[in-house]
Amino acid sequence: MDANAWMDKALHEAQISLKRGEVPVGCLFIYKNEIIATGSNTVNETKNATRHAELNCIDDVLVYCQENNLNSKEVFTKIDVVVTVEPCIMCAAALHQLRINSIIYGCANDRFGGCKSVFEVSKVYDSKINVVGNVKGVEAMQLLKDFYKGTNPNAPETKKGRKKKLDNN
Amino acid sequence: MDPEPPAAKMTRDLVESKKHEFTWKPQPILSKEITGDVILEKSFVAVLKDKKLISRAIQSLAKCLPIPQHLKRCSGLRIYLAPINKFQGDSHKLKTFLAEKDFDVDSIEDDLEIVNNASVAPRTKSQAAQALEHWPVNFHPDIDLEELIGGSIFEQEQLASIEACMRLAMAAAKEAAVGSAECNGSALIVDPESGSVLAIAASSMDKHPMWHASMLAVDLVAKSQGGGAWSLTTSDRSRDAREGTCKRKHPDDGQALCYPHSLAKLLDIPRSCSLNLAKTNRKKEKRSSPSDKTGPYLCTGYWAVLLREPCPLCSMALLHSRVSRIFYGAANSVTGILGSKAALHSVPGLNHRYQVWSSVLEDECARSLEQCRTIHC
Ligand SMILES: [Zn+2]
Ligand SMILES: [Zn+2]
Repeated sequence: MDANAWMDKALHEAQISLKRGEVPVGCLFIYKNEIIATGSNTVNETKNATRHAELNCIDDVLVYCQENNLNSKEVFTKIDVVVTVEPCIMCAAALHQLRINSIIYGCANDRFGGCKSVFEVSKVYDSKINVVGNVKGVEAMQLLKDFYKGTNPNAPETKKGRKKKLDNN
Repeated sequence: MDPEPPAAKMTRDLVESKKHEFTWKPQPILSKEITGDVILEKSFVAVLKDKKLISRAIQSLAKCLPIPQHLKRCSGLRIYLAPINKFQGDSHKLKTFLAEKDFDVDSIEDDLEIVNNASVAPRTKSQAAQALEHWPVNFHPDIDLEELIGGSIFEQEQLASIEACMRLAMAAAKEAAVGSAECNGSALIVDPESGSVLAIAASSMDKHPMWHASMLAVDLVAKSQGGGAWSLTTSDRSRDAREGTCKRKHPDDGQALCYPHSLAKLLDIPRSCSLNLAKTNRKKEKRSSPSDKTGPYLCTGYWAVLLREPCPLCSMALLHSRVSRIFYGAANSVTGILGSKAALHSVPGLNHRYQVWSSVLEDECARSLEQCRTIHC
């Protein structure tokens, strides 16, 4: 499959999370041309602001490796990450530390982007990850806009008015 | 009566020994805009021929050459006109411009002067003083910021409590930390309002590559609020929480949550052990209350005490979680971005900022870090 086809699947995942009241970000981890983890944000569900789609996928890959008797450290270095929004600084750091193979993302993350938008995490690490942005970026951004048209039901009252974009991502 | 918990005892011992000399001083990690010199630019200034002409000149200039808010228009007979760049450094151009705008060019001396003035508003007293050597500025010192820079922001009792927290962090690291060169050590999340320790974690990267101390601590706090993602506590409620069966705000019995569990027996710290982290002089401290009527939201208003400067993963996890202050001991020259390789909290555009202090018991923390197990990740 090509990047656009993968991104369609990631966008579908983001749509599902929008219905669950989470910031709509969808993510796939691809290993040997096969999706081995699919994830979306679970920040509100877990009351943990770090539960982004990428971190949820990392947990699933660890389970996958355990079940299939694979060395997770090696598997991560062969993984391509497809995610609808540019990984935030935290997730970009996680992906660099795991030395994954590549990142393909949809729209830029103006608030917290860790590939180029806010802070270049790659400068901190020695690893070189191939990053491709703006794959179906308009669709990904539209989902975020849909989300922020409503408000995040779990943020305290005072914060709601100010929420514009990517507060939870 | 319950045996006295170690954190409370340590704090009290520290505070009661009035002679206690702190061997360390928290160093605020501030952005260059605050610690750096004032930024100057060159501007044209005219010299008025007569004092009586000042007010008319000011009125006339207000329309054609408005002045930045932080600068004063006049210094004696000298009157500020504009940055030289605006007129390509050419004073004749500027004078022609003034004449076209009906400014009374005869009221000023033929030769314009060039001065250095602050190009943006000075942030600190010291920047204001530097600016004043060149051209007068309007400046109102930010008392909180001056306290922060001067290092006088914390009272003795607060320092004692921060030290007690760091000693707990050292004990936790010694007991259980397994990390990498990139990130290692331990983390505490404390509520400065109630003076209680909410979570203690030691880096456990041998079990999971994302189990850095701060990542674990944040998930333990989530767990204490009925959430959580990882199976970290023996009586794990995260599954219940996911299925919406856990309605309690504080499902735990006042005990700080720990990971790994070996920390629990080492550090028996009930939530009520009361560290003195909040200022006694309360009106001075701006607080974002973590527990208004909506209940706690993530780590809003909490403080993090870390053995070592956090890596980008941990730094950003704490920022997402909205902790208000971070204290760390040892610097992290490998991946630290709260002082060593960058200052994440002063990157423009990020919201939910926190304040950061380094050098809490730095040497001791560096030594305990050397003793932590390191694996290659
Ligand atoms: Zn993220
Ligand atoms: Zn870390």
